[in-house]
Amino acid sequence: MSVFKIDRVEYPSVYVTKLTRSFNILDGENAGRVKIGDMVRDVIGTYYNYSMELDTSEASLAEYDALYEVLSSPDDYHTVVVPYGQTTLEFKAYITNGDDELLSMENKRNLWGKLKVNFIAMQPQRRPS
Amino acid sequence: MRAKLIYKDIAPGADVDASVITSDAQSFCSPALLPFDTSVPPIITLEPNMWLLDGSFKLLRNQDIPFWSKQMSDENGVFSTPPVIEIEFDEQYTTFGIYLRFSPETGDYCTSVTIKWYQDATLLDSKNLTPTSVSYFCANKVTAFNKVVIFLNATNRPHRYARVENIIFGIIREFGADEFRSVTILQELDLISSELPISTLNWLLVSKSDIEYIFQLKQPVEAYSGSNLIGVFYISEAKRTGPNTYEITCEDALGVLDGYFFPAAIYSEYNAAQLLQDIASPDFDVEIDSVFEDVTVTGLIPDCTKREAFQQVLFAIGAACTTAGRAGIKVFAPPAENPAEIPDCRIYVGGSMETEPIVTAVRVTAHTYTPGTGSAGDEVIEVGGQKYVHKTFVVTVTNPNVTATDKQNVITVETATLVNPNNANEVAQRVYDYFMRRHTLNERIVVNGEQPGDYVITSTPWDTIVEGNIISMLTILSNTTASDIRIKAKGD
Repeated sequence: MSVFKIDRVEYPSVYVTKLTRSFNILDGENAGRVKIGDMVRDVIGTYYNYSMELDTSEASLAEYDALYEVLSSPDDYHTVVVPYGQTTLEFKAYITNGDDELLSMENKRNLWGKLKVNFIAMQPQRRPS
Repeated sequence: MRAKLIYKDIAPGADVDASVITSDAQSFCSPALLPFDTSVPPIITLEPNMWLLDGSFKLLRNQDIPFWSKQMSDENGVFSTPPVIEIEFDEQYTTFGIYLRFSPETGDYCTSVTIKWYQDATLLDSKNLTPTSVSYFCANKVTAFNKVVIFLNATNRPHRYARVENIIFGIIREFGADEFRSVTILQELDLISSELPISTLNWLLVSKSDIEYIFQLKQPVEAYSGSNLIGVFYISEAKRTGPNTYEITCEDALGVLDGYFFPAAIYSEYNAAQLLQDIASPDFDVEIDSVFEDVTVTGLIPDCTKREAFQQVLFAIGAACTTAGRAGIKVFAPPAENPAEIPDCRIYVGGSMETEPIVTAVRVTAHTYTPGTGSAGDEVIEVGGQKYVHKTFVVTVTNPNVTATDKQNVITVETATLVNPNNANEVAQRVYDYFMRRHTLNERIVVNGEQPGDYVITSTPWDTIVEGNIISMLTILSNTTASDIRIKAKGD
């Protein structure tokens, strides 16, 4: 079973060596300090963002290249499924950058690895009631 | 507080233009109410289960009931001869569909409806529908129809009259913060109505649905902060900028009135409240402060827009008006006592105070219009085929506190043609008093029900206290509603 899905596709041969989850409670234009020093919030919602470092040593070259093409595609966003609490979270995420390393070149085969990517939520997963 | 915009995607004017024709309604019904929002309480009848003994059902006592059919449906809920409602229009309309509200209070609705759209005698389209609830939107774009015929074929319960409360030519859509962006609302007023500013709503819709919108001029958009209505605005411009993105500009009722011509007329002690109603009708209701009930106007309103005519009357009688928090127009005397506090915990850091130059005098021109052709040298005007001699004189109020170093700064009012010998002194003094209020405080607040015109007490950024009337609010609609407000301070 894959730890994550991208656009409904699982990558069972790809392992996650490091997964970082962060949240960002974003304010709108009306947030600011008032005269008595209090902060007035204008909460738009909570965004959950994920960073992953992947172990692709068991993935075939074709699988790796396919994943790389998906992650680096010039699309507005992807639909990703990632671990969240004791369950999973599906959300629209955009990717602006990622990096990997060329590990070796043998017999016209380029072995890439140490792939890292950041998924940033397109919209708040939680909005104020 | 949750902000929302309610867009009435309806054919503007179709409700008042509609003529409802039916011979299938009960005698106590008023089918002409169908295009309007009428709610019918549960009413006791001898239909099965329509006399619930819990006090919720009312006796039939002259309630407004738009439509109940004369005939009952059979044991299967089917009408052997379906009741028919025909609606004719003088103008042609284009809508994305027709919204039917049956009987929410009793849970009754029609399970089979046929709607036919016509342009004169030509059948444009026909739909057989199967509503599944008390409110139903028939999505079907039809262009340039001027007649609709609705057949009510069956009811959801057996042995029932077909009930219809409301027929809307279009649909009401609600947008939350997840669909609108950068919503700015500018609401302004002039305390002496020397001008009549148009309030505006500008917003960007990033639609989550695949529906294509055809925003039409004068369709209403209501802006809410929580349950508080900020104002009702009418579409003046709409631009599609992407597959799901629309930029929409709206104006308030005064903006709509600015699009209508008002013909010149001479008035002699005409009731001002009646004249304001005359100008705004039939589009808008005007709520007028009782202090103006018996005030009259005398003079000329020249050929102008309805907004300009409205301004002439307000200026002459010393009233202000606002469209904030309502669908119509409120005419009132700006309050100058019992200020409401805007506490420091709602005032953002920052702000500024503007100070206008000293006004040295105010000169207001009064006008008289006497029927006749006058003598040589007289200015003669013609209004409605009648000639009038137009004479003027000027009333001046001079500032007694001007010093030798003060620059001359005279305010003149020449084109207020409802200012006459009887009210000229009062008008001039009112204009003078207004211009003596030289300070305007600009600050940003968290809104808690404030509206333009309100008399408030608040503090400046340097903690002095200011009392005055709010003359403008620039509101950014968000989950927290905040406004950049301008307060015309009392005193000099």
